[in-house]
Amino acid sequence: MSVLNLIIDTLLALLILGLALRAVAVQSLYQSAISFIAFGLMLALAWARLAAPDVALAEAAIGAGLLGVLLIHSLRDFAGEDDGEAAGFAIKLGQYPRLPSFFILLGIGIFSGVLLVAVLQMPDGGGLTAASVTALADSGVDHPVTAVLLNYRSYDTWLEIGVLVIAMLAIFCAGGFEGFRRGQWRPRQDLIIARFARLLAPLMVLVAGYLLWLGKAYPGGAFQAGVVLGAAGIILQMAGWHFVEAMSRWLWQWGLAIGFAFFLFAGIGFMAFDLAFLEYPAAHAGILILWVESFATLSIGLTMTCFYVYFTGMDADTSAGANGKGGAGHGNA
Amino acid sequence: MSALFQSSNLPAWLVLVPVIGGVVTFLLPVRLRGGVGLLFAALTTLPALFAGWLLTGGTSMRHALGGWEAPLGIALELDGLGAVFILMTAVVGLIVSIYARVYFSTVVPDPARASMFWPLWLLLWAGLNGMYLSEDLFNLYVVIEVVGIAAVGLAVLSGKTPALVAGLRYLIAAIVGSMAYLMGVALLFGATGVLDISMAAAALDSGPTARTAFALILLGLMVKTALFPLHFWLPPAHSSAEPPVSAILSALVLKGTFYIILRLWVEIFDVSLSFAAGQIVGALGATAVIWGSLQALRQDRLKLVIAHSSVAQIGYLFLLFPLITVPLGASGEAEWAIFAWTGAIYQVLAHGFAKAAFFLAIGVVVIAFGNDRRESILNLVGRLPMVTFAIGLAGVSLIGLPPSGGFLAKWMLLKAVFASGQWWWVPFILVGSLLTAGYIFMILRLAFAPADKEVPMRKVPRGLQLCALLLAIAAIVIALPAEWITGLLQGMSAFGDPVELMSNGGEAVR
Amino acid sequence: MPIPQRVQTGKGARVMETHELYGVVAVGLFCIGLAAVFLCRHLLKKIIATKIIGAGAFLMLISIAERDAEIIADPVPHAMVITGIVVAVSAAAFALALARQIRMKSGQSEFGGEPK
Repeated sequence: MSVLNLIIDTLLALLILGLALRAVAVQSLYQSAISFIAFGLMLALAWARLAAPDVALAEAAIGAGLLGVLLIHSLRDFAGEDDGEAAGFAIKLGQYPRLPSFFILLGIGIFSGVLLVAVLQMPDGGGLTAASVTALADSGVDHPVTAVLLNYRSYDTWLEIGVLVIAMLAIFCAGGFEGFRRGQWRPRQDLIIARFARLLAPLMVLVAGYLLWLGKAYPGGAFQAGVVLGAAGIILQMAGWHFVEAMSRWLWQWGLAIGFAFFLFAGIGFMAFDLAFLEYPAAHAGILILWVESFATLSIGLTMTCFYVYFTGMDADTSAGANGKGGAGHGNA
Repeated sequence: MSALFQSSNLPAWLVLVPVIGGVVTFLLPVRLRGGVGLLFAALTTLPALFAGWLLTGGTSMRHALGGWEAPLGIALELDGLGAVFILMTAVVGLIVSIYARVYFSTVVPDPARASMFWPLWLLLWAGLNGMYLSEDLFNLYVVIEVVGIAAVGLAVLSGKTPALVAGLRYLIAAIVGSMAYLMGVALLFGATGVLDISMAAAALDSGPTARTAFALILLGLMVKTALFPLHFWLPPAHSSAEPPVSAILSALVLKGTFYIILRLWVEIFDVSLSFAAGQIVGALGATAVIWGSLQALRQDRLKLVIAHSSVAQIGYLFLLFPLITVPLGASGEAEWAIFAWTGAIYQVLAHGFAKAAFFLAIGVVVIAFGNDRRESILNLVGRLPMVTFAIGLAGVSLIGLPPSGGFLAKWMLLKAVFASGQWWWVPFILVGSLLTAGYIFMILRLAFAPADKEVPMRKVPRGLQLCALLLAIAAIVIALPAEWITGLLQGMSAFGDPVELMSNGGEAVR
Repeated sequence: MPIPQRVQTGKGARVMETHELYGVVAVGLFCIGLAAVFLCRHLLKKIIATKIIGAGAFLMLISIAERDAEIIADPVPHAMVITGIVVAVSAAAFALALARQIRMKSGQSEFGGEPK
């Protein structure tokens, strides 16, 4: 490792640790959220430094991007608490009894030492690089990460797309109603974002398609494409194109579930021909994976947008609650 | 088409049937979800029964997903131990589903919200079966998250503020637990280069990395299993959920992560285990037995009594670990390992049935009287005799009175304790039973006490009462097929083959 | 050329391997997050803390992937982390929704806290 690289990596490492510390220790909630988003972006840089461009794309888009939007959005509910005792590290403010905090810190300090030893003395297990590359010829794609995600370990990926459906349902449970408030289709002309949206959204859909296609051979694929699609959806929503609220119930339900359901369907289909669940015949693996990825992209993008839309629907709850009219107009079943 | 349902696909179908049910119920309109959901609950029990029948000889079967064998691919493996858990999930799951169908269609005022129960519950069920089948460390992380998020989603289904607060606490504990697990898996992967459980076991050497990975995984899963002192999230979450959800959370969800601890303990971590590790975990379990029971005695609301009782009953499960982690050369070890295993598995089954019965019964009480305070069940026996009977039977099993499943569990654990010479666990087991008897009789005494003035009572559908009673009966009669269940377990290599440590208490030998 | 070549690093004094450096950062993040989950009382900060714990676990996996590189880095941990990020963000979005709902309904912004 050359000295220049070492300097860059060390700076990045310090920046990441510093931002993480600031995100939890700073008193202002707004500053905390901003630090956390910056932390996510620096983390994406670290993934890039560690030769993981796929992860960098996912982290920047979902970890920092989507979660950042949701976090900032949530802040308005907690407005005025920036300087409250609750915001900072409790120990600093003496809110928490000092002795327990001290023991917690001591315990975690000792634990960090143990963990550090474990990491620095870790035996070299060798990993699965060679195995992944060797099997690439039978996988139907040329990019190893895509091969792992959609062929070798497609069961994990399938379940993970299922987690998106589960999370959406769980958020419905938290909010108390399934569906999206009937919004007004009100494309805004006045906002800068509206102009951006017109320009950006079609471009982003194109980029998503390109990323999806790219995943076959290069960093990219369903997740990155789905997230870009989701971002396009969020920008459109922000600009007043409330397309999620305009969808009928069955449309968004199918949209949310289709990625998971098609993956399932493709996996079961070949079990009738003596293959295992999620096993594809080698000759058709490439095209099957592309189909599975396309539907997954659609669902991931829609889920990301729906998370955002549901959060904006909860804003309406807040204001309606303030006016004593909470709970009116739920759902669009 | 016959290829689709050949028996080698059985492990996959155990996950797929409830998943299909989850997707279908999600896509259906609200009014159809209950009926179709119940249909899929019934369908899900079919492969589970088939698994129990198929494995009776004590075999195991493996299904390489995607056609990729380990180390690159993920395998599902169905063995005797997993089959017992899958069967319990199926029986409890089906009865709770029937209860839920009646409960959500007659009692709950908001059918649209209640209908979200079905997709979440079926997907959770799939996740549980996935836990009992998975042979892959990272896949276990994914199914842990599936179960965790779905469980919290169900816990907040009522939308009441206490449920939301308890749910967020539960969720944060669950996320921290699963992240600790993932960190441990990362260390294991770094040290062994594989994720398949048996391959990782073969490649893992004793050392600081293995020990730390073990600690991280154990701690993470202990949070999720609510072992004392990491149980803080359980009582509020379990007591504020809807009755069928409480039954699912306490009877089934807690057992999933316990199963993973058990599996990894005997399959991977035997290399870095010491006598002390078993004793520490056992001590936490023993403390949980006493602490949880004492807390249960102090509660005013019945749901909280039952939720704290879960903390205690989970404690019993962890007494298995000191008993199977013993110095090599102690006499008769194979024999007491069989007792310990049978005892712990019976504790899983008995607690699963009895606790589910309890929560369903208290659910009936809440419908009838509008709350679950102690005073409201005065003269319960005269007004809801079937529910009183269910509470009594479930109580018998929780205390461990013969001839219940709970009796068999505690008796076998005691036998193992005596045979192993670890007599110091005896007082915990006995005092735990006494304290359990204390809060059960407290409930029964109220149920049989005459009421000065009758509070008005809402009519409760008979089906709900019957479901509670069925589960309570199951908690008793589960003691009958003991031989068959032992037969299922015998297929496991770990069974009857305790983790053997050298007599100086040092590293394990393979 | 389907497989991207990793940039070859130049020769230098062996101070610390890249993966070791990031492994240490991973431990740091994990512990900062863990401490913050206990010590921060505000619900939003607890949620942020869980994300930082997760970042630590993910960084550990990716640094191991870099260590195991043979021309390309190990794709298996990369895929695991992509899966993990999506799962973790789903869980965090759910947690945020819960926290907001709790604030709206009860005015609480910490566990056991006073309504604001």
